[in-house]
Amino acid sequence: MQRRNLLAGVAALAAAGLILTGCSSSTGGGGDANNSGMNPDGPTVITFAASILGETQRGPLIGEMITDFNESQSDVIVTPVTIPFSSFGSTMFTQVGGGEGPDIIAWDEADYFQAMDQGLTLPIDDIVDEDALLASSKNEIMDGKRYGVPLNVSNYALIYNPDLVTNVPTNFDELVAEAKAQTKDGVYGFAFRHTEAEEAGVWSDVSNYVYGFGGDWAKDGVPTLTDPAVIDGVTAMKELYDAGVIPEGATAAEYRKMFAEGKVAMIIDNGGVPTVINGTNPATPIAAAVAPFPTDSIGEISAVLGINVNTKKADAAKAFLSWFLEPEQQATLQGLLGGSQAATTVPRTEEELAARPYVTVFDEVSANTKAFAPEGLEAVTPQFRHIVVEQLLRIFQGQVSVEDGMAAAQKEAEGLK
Amino acid sequence: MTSSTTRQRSPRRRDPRRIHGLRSMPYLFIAPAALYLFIFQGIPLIQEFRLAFSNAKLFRPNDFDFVGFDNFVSISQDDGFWQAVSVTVVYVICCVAGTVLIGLGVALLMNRKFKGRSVLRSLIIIPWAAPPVAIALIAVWMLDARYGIVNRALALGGLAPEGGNWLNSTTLALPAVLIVTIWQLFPFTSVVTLAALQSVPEELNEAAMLDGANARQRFAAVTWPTIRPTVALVSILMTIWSLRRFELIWLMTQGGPVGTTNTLVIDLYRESFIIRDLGQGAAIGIVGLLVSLTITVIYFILSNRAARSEVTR
Repeated sequence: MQRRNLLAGVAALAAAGLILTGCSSSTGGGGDANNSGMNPDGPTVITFAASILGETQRGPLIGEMITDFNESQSDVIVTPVTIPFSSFGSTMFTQVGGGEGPDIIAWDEADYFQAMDQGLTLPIDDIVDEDALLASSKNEIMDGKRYGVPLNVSNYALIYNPDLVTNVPTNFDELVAEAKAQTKDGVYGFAFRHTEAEEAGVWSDVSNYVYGFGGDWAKDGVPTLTDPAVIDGVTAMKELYDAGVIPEGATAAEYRKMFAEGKVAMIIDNGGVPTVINGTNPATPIAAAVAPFPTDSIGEISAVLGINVNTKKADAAKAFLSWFLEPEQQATLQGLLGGSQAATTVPRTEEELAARPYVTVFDEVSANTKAFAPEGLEAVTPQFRHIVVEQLLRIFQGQVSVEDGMAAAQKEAEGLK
Repeated sequence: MTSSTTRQRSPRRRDPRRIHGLRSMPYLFIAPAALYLFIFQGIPLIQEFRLAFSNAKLFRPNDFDFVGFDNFVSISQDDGFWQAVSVTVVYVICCVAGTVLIGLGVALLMNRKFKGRSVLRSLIIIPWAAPPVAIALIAVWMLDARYGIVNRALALGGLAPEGGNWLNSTTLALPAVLIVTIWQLFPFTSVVTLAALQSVPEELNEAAMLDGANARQRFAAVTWPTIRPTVALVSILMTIWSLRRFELIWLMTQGGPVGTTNTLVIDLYRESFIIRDLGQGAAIGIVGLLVSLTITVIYFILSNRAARSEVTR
């Protein structure tokens, strides 16, 4: 009877194991049975993940580009994977860290630095013509090797509603004055991100102020959060926050929608945003000007295409990237990106300039742009960002002065490595 | 030699192997559930302990070195961690008190006989049945400073807070999150307490009434002793669930503004998936686990003592 019980127990465990096995699902991602770059027996299927694929305006257009690639040849099929921007980084790092993940990933630039530093992307020097790329694409090079190319580069500038703004500001004092003048009757003169829920966005926004006032987050790996120029930049942002000219608590999605409805007069935002605004309301009048800061320095945000180190289809991934970097595709991409730029220098068409004259402003500031990353500490940008934004929010809430808040951030940032 | 007429049958002895088989059957039936728990909770828990004593990062979860208690020392020196501990304590106490008291009140109300009682009993479940994600997203809009219905309703009575910014206010964010959490959880306590109320012997109530006891006295002497074990159990469940609450807080405030709604679970998630330090995140998780275990052990000790004192009475 003991033997029968033992057998019954083993049978129960085996049944449970079979049930659990049947319930488990196979993980997707770059590694699967196709374990060579190109499968001689048929097209190689690769996955391409990008948060931009989820945008209502630009997503389907990039999807069409992918379809064009698939139809243009028979060796590689690219399957798009859409993941929301807010969780893109954590999702990708979880998958890649676990040995899986899509074959091609369009990293947010801050996450890309970390991915590159950790060796999670393959070098792609063999498929890239350095001379054709934008100057800002040097950020994707480490130790002399290139590990990614921009999917899009979005520079920042002042975006305003010309029907509301009577005096286009050319310096910061004029910006504050115009924002106050426009804040009335349910309309806000300005808007920027300022909530914990949008930490990455707050970081981008405050970086523009710091850069614009001549500061940097770090130099050669040493944080410079207490430099006078940094203090000036943060103080300027605090001044706007306290002026009562921004819709407090509003997220970027909300205030961009308000802009589309004529309820926000000005924002400092990236070149892709006018496309988003016009997607909400095609009739919204939009104009752009150089951000009214003391210096020309301003930020840029990129999505960087990299090949997952876990992929078993590197050749197929490179084939797609090579096609993507060809002039014809870059011109198509440029056309749908609006005020953003593609990886290579593509002249704007007459039709585009007529439809969106503001794009020239975003192009003109290219020479003065910087990535939203502390110089020399790019690989720890997420941690650095958290430290700065945490103190910035305390500054906004009046819990600490600008000087004390940045001093606290400096002390904490010095412990990062 | 015995004759067939006088031969007595010996009492039928049960096969001892069959007795042992009967004893093993319960274990066999719970084996699949135990296996499930071991695979999906036990193994991750072991892994969490490993990570808590390591320098693992999200992008290299299997490539790490053991660092002893460094992670625990690091979080103990972080003011943000202690703020998370204090926020967690306040959040849990208020959640438990709110859900139990409101649940008890609603249960007492639903235990009375009135027209429409059965409809009310069905409707009261809705907050509990609704997905927490949907509740959080609806709450965000209801509490919106410009378009939210809460401010508009409060404004009618002149009660709208200045600025009306609930979720971006260091003073209003935690109360807002608590109100939504309590609203979502109280139906569970009310339903469970209602079931306990229905086991209160009616004749005891009637006897108490005949003795001249008022409603408060009848509650204290008759109702409360009967439902107390159930309320205690519901309290411990609410405590553990409040300690683990993530989606409501994350979707409403992400722990902000400036950490005023940052509980241990939110801190753990941020440390693990935003900062990408799995070691520190796991260390925070261990602290949360120890807090839950301590509360559970205290509950069992107290309930065992209460049970023993009932027996010896």
